[in-house]
Amino acid sequence: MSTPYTPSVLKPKLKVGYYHHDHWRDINGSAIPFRENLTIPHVCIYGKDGSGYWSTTDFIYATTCHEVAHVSHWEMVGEGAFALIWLNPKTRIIPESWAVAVEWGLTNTEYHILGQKYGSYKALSYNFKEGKQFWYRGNDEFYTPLFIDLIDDQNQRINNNGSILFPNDKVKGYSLSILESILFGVRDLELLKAMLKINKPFGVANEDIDELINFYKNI
Amino acid sequence: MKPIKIIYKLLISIGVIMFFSYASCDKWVCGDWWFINLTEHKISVDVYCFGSISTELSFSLMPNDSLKQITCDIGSSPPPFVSSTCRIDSILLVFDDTLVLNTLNYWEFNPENIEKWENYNRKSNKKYNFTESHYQKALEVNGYSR
Repeated sequence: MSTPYTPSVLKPKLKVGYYHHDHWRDINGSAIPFRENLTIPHVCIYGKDGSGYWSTTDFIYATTCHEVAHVSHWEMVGEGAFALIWLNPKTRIIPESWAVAVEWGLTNTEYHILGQKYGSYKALSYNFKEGKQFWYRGNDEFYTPLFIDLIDDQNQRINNNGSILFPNDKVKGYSLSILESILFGVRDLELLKAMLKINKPFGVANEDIDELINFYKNI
Repeated sequence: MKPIKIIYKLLISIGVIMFFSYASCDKWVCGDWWFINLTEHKISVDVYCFGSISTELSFSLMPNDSLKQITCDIGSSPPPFVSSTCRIDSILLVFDDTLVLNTLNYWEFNPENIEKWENYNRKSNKKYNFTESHYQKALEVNGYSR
C-alpha cells in the first residue's frame, strides 16, 4: 500500500495525537487531514469511550489504522473528490468501509507477526472483530465489511444459514493493495463494480461482484 | 432584511455546516444484549474456541435469571460471541450441569442466529430468550421422550 501522507512545505508532517477521551463527543478517533493548526493534530485517537470504558490496545491500534486510511484515501483521490464522496450519504460507504478493511488487514498482520515472533497460536489466528462478518442489513450503513468481503473467503449468508440479512459473498482474492489502486478512480458503487470486474482475481465471476455490490447498494 | 442578505447568510451557514461535517469522526456505538432464562433450569452457555472452552465468552444463568452483555464497535454494536482471538467451534447449552444441547447442530437454537433475537433490527435492547423449547430439544437429542 502507498504511504499515507506526502509531506510538503505547507504540510510538513502528518500529526497523530492520542487523548484519553474527547470531552465533547463520544468518538474513538477523528481525521481532519486538511486542518493545519499548530496545536491540534490531523488525526486524533481516543483511549476511552463515552461510558468511560478503556479501549483495548488492539482496538486503539486498529482505530489509528482506520483514521490514517482516511488520510491516505483523501490524499489519493484529492480533497474535492473526497469531500463529494464523503458528504454524499450514498457514497460514504466507500471511504468508511475502506477504512474498516484497512484497520482489519493491518491489525491482523501486526498480530500475526507477533504470533510468529513469540510462537503464540492465539496471536497467529487473531482476526480483528472477526472481519466484521457479524454485520447485517439494518446495522450502520457506512461501516460495512464491503471491502473485507472482497478479500476474505467467508460467505456470511452461508454462515448464517441463508439469512438474507447477510450478503451472499462469493467474492474473494482481492488484496488491500489492488483495492487501493482501484479506489484511486472510484467515486461511486457503480464505478467500483466496473473497476472490480476489470481487476478481478482468477475464479471470480462478474455476477458475484454484481450481487455483492448491489447488496451494499440497497441497504 | 433584504433577500440577498438572507441568501448570503444561508450560504455561509451551509458552508460552516459542511466544513464541520466533512471531518471523519468515528463514533463508538455500544449495545445491550440480554440473555434471559425463562426456564426452571440452570443453563450454562459453554463456548468452545479452538477445541477448548472460552472463559471470555462462556457464562451461566440461574432459573429465571438474566444477564446483559455490552458490546461496542465503531458504527454499530456487534452481537455477543464476537471475539478477535476466538474462532467459535460450538456453543453448548448445558441444562442443570447434565443435559447438553450442541447448538451448532440446531441453528434455530443457536444464540448466534441473529433472527432469533428480539429487536435485532432496532437500536433498543436486544433479547435472546432461553425457553422451555430449548430444554425440550435437549431432552429430545439426548434420547429422552418429550
